[in-house]
Amino acid sequence: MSPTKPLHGIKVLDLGIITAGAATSAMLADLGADVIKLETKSRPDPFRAWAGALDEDSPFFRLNNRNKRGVDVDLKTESGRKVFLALAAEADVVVENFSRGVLERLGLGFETLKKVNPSILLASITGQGLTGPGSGYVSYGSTLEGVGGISSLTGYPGERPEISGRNLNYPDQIVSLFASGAIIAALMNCRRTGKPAHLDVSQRQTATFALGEYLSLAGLAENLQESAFRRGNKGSHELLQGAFPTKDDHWLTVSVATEAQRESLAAVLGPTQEPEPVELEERLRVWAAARPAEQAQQALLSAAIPAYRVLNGQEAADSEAVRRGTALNRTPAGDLSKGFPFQLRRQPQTIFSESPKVGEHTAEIMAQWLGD
Amino acid sequence: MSILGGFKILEFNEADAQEVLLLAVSFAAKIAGDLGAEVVKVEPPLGERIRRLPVLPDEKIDSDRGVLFEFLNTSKKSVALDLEKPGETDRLRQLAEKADVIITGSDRFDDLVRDDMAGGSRSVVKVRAFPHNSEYRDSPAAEISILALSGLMDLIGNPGREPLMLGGRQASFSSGYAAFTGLMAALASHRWQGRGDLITLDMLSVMTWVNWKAVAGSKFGLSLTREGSLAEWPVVPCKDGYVALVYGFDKDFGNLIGVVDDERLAGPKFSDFQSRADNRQEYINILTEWSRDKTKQEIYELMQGRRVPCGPVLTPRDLIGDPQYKEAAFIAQVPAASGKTLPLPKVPMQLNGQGFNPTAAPDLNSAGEEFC
Repeated sequence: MSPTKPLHGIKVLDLGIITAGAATSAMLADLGADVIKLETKSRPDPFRAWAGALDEDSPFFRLNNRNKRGVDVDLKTESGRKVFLALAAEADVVVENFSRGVLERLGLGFETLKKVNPSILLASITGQGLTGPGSGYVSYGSTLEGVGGISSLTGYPGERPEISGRNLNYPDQIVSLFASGAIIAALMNCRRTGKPAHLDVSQRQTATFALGEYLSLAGLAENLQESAFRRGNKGSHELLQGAFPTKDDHWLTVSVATEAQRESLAAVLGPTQEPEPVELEERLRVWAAARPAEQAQQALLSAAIPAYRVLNGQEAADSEAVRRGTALNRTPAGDLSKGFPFQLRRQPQTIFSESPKVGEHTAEIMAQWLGD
Repeated sequence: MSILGGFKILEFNEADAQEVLLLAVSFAAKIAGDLGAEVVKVEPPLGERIRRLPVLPDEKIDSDRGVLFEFLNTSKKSVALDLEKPGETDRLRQLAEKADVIITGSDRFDDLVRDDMAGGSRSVVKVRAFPHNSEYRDSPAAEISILALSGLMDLIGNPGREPLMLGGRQASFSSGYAAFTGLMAALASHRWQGRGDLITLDMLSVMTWVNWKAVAGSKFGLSLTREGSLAEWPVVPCKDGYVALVYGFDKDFGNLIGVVDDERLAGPKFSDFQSRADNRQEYINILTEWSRDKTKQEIYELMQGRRVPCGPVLTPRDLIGDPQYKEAAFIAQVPAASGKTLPLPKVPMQLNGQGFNPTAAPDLNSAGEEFC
């Protein structure tokens, strides 16, 4: 790893499993940290065998664990705990997203860690937090869309709320976007103060913070009907916004926020044949239904109106704009890989190694970190 | 509690910048400000237009500090500059040269990145809607555009009907989370490597990164799309709202049957994943019969009491008074322009049990003299 990446020299012990923990430490690895994934053969990261993957690691596992090295340590044995604490003594950060109490029951909680390393940062990525009535509850991304508040804002107007379900688990993903930055901030503080710290980033709070303006509005406007908060694809101040069916059975999203855009749209749609004035949105609906999505999109984009077809995952992966971006990348072996949410110019993030097998690098880590 | 004290951040956007950039840049800078960094926000002479933008159409704004602006600009200083007037661009450059990091949607500061050891270390975090070399680089973008092109909208709603946006401003604020982490990578490079960098982020890449299961997953044989009301994890109505009844593994479903205690659920029609899929509507009807006369809180405690991952759909008003959030002191009360106090969620992280208290958003140019 090149010497000048932002987190060069930072050592991370990664107990993160499935998505939230593993994707957070993967972002730290991308930024130059030395990230060591700790598992044991009898209890590997459940994501390795996800979605029925049998002989080799599941794509889900590989996508979230590249750029890490693997050490086999059984935290349930005395010898395994000794090795873990020896590694923790050398580490800057321990990242974990077990359910509450697991680390403490293993005798490896924050109180123990700070004895072996007085400036350690323990970063817990939790469902609902380390303490409080909800901290012991079982949380998945989709339950957290409920208790986090996002699904109360998501749904067809006047109908029941929607969750994104297993396909997205939205809070599971955005917690990593934030937690990696929170870890860097907390680590700077540990180094400045020379004191250990226990960081708690919860998926639930991360989801609620991402709709903070609605809490403020609800707090101010007592009379606001909260079912009005679920507005389908309508905007807050847009003159017109929605997804319109096209001739070739796609959905074209259109958003008109300014008077200028409204006039451009009216011009594109052309004069109405109807005797009495027909509302612009209705004219747009008829116009879109009469032409293929691609043609409609081009016509509106060239009139500087934000209009884009709804793509599914496959179409997005193959689209020119996504391929020009940073979200997809390749491992050294040429497999498709999860890329980066942003990129650095002087020290670009790269995918420099495949996801590790359990314990693949145990010997070299023992030598490098512990000198034995 | 302040952990980024001593860092200087300049937030700047062109007066006519796209709304999604104003939101994403402000969100990222706000987090850094709440954590203790000094954030100077440069605004056009009449103030950034987010000052007068409503969260929802029926929000009446009678000052230049609407709720959305209040939420996005806590812990910042405001300096108004009229870049049409001579000398003002020099003032802007002076401000930029005093900053450790400039976070912006503008190309104006690319040359200010000092990544040579001699010249000190300043970074720029630049946010765009689309990748800089993509076909859409100069195309207009709205929140709905990015959710459409990233494949996210395709995952939400009913198959036969219009796909749905995630509620709120999730493309802007997820990108804000990622931009905050980019900003922390810049500060780490500044403090630990003594050099700056140009960090670029495009919102389409962030959201295709968030949507990795559907996008990257499509290259491993997954074709995910919205399942709507017949999804495996239904949202069912109850006495005072809705509850998301999520279960992951068969053991969870076994626990759920224990709670609902309806022998029809124990039958062959619901014995495994496939049979539940085939009898989904009947399954949802049975659950709805059971949930109709129970409140969100009752169902939440009954289900979680048996380790069933269930999440009531909490509204913004529920969240302000939520016991878990009270325990973590997660909701701050900040003085608003109207003299009232405003409930605002704090930055979603606690360090050693301590949160980070935001200060109220600034009046326009309130730091004009300080930085003239």
